[in-house]
Amino acid sequence: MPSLSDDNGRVAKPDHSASVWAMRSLVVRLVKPATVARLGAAYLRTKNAVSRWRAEMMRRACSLGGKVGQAVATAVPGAPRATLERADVFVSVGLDWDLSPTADIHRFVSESGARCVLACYDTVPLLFPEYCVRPKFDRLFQQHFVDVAHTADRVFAISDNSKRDLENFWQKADLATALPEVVALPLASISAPEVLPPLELDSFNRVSEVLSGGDYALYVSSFESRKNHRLLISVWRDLFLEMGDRCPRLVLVGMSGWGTEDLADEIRRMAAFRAKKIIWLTGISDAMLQHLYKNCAFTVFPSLYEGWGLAATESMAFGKACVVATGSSLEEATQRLMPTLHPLDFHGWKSIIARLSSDIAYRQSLEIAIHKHYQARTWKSFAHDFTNMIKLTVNPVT
Amino acid sequence: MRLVQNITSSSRWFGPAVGIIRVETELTRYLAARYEMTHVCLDQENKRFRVIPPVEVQRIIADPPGEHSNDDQAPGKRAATLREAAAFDPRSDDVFVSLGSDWSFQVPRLLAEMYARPQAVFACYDSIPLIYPEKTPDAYFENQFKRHYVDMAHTARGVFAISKHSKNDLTAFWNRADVAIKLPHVEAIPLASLPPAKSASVLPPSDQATIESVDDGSGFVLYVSSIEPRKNHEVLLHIWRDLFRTRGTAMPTLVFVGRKGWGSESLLTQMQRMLAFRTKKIIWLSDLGDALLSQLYARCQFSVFPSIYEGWGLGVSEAMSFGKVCAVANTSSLEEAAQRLMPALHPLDYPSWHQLIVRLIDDREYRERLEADISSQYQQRSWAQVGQDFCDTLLDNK
Repeated sequence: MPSLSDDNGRVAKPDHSASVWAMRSLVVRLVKPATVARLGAAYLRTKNAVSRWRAEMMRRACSLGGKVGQAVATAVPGAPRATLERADVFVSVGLDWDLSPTADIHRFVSESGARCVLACYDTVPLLFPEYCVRPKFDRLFQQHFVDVAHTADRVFAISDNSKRDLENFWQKADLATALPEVVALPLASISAPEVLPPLELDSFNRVSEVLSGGDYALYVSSFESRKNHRLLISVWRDLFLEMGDRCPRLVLVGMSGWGTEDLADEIRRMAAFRAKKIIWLTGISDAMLQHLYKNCAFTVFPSLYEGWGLAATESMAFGKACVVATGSSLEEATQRLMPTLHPLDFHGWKSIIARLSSDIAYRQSLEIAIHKHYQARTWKSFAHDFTNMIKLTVNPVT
Repeated sequence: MRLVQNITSSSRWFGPAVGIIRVETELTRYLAARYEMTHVCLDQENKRFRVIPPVEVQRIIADPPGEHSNDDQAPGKRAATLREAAAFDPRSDDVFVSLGSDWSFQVPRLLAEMYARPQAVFACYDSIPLIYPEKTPDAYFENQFKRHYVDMAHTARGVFAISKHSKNDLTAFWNRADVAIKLPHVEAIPLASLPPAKSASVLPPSDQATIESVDDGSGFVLYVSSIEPRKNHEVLLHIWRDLFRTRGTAMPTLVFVGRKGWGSESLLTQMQRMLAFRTKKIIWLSDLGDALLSQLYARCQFSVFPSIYEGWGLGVSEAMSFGKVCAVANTSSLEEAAQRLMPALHPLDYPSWHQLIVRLIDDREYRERLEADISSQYQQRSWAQVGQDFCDTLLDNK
């Protein structure tokens, strides 16, 4: 029986889309009667400093259309205590370091002898503590991944890159335990709809204003320093200086994040921004985003480090070329079909952006490569692979 | 001819003389030794100049500077003295020298009301607010500088530019702005460099402790510059992050010396969370005395100056006067300050900076070759030479 832990009764935040999507697809798959013998959900509830696992039947989650977060949120009052059996597999793929500490999972699972599958999205806080909102987040993460090694039988990693990072960390930490197997299961991307969703008047006006300016390059990403907007800003500064009115446009979509206030101020004062060659949009709905993807010339993803790169796969799902950074998982997410550059190679980015803006044949050749070779992965197929991994993890019947 | 010098900027400064204040006080000393001078400062309230009593002039240009740095009352006392000083009466045979941060005081505009013809000699340090408006502390600088340089064209008989690069930027601006007059003569006069270490004087215990914390035996690399976005500390942080990942602590320490400027809040917060910073492979010092700074120059492996834009680059000439290599950016005046003897790279070309820094660290022979170039070819300039060039080309030529 797989059990699914979720977020201590809280709805997961939309900016953690990878974990929410993974969890959601998994629930949809698992509730199908033939998939597993028995299914239950559990969440960790902390009251008066005592944490207890509470159970909620999966039916409930299912009846709410698979919106796990909401289902669990409504399930808090009077939920029965969760129990595990030796034949169960306990699955937890959420923001466990914050919401259901792995040490608690360890206690819960080890009492019963059940098996356990946990997740690794990325090890960014270990590698780059400076890119995390909270100070000392790396220490919390260190503890989390040490506990994962002691608790999990299998770990689901969202990319080969994350798998490698986690294994490297474990190796350096020199743990006195047999390490769990780490299985890389690439995430899916949204699929591009046949027909774009209709927009409400206000959204329509905002999108139209962008589209009326002609071609543009798109970067969809929260605005934080790891995402390396700085590089694009420097490139556009130069391009505008050299090309003036003929300079291509850059559309940034994403919420303002931590540690970028100074850069945001700079952007607003740039000549290229004042001339509307750099456009920064926030509060963009999913529907608007689809219109922006569909109509862009190409996209860019120069992030300094990623665990996967959903936005790159989204771009390709819309058939749009995406220039990505080397050094982490982005080449993997784009199935090695797209141009790649070191995230700080200013001259390289400048020249490829200039080329993609003017050389239509080159752009089309990349779009053809996507059309021919890109294998879009569905969440269904992801969940299928995940379920197989669970089945491999179950204790043998004695 | 009567020689008048406006020293408003220096009269309001009570810290160590750096940057513009340094240039102004050095030239004030030189001119005072060579000519009979009338020193004035601006009474901003009444928009007129006042004659500074000679004894107060001596305090303002005292060497070492900052005679009053331990006297909390000094600024107030001086302000009171200057308020009481005699009003300045302009004469038609005046040559009015003004080398401070005149844009803040609208000096050219005041002179236009005082004199019927151009009688002023001004300084042009840089055109950064015109070229990089987003890299100045406030949005109003751009318009302030435009107005200042246009007014300067109308009121100057000569302009002292601190580098050929600054001269070219200024004349390019005048040409773009289409100023409809005969433009004043602009003379590029390279600045002096710090004199070599005033013999290794004994440092106070706190300075000695600082030296020991910096010099842990694996050597260090020095960047002396205020911390603000234009100075491009970022490229160095990226390199040190990468070196730390591959080499651990077996690498030289990166030492920043400089005050925190505007717009660097996020950068500094992130820097302080970096693993390399926490293990003291990146160190940040500020408000150092000359003796300690000299020691750091004398003991560093080499220095760097990757700033995106400069009017000159005192940090470069300082390093070279200590016989130390300084890797510089090639987009403004820094190659000129280095007399084209030092390796120069585009400030944003991370791959090349990475390669160069690694070579300077690992390839001792390469570093020594560059040091040999400095000792055989670098021409040190004293402030007296700067002063003489100034007089020859801008005062005595008419």
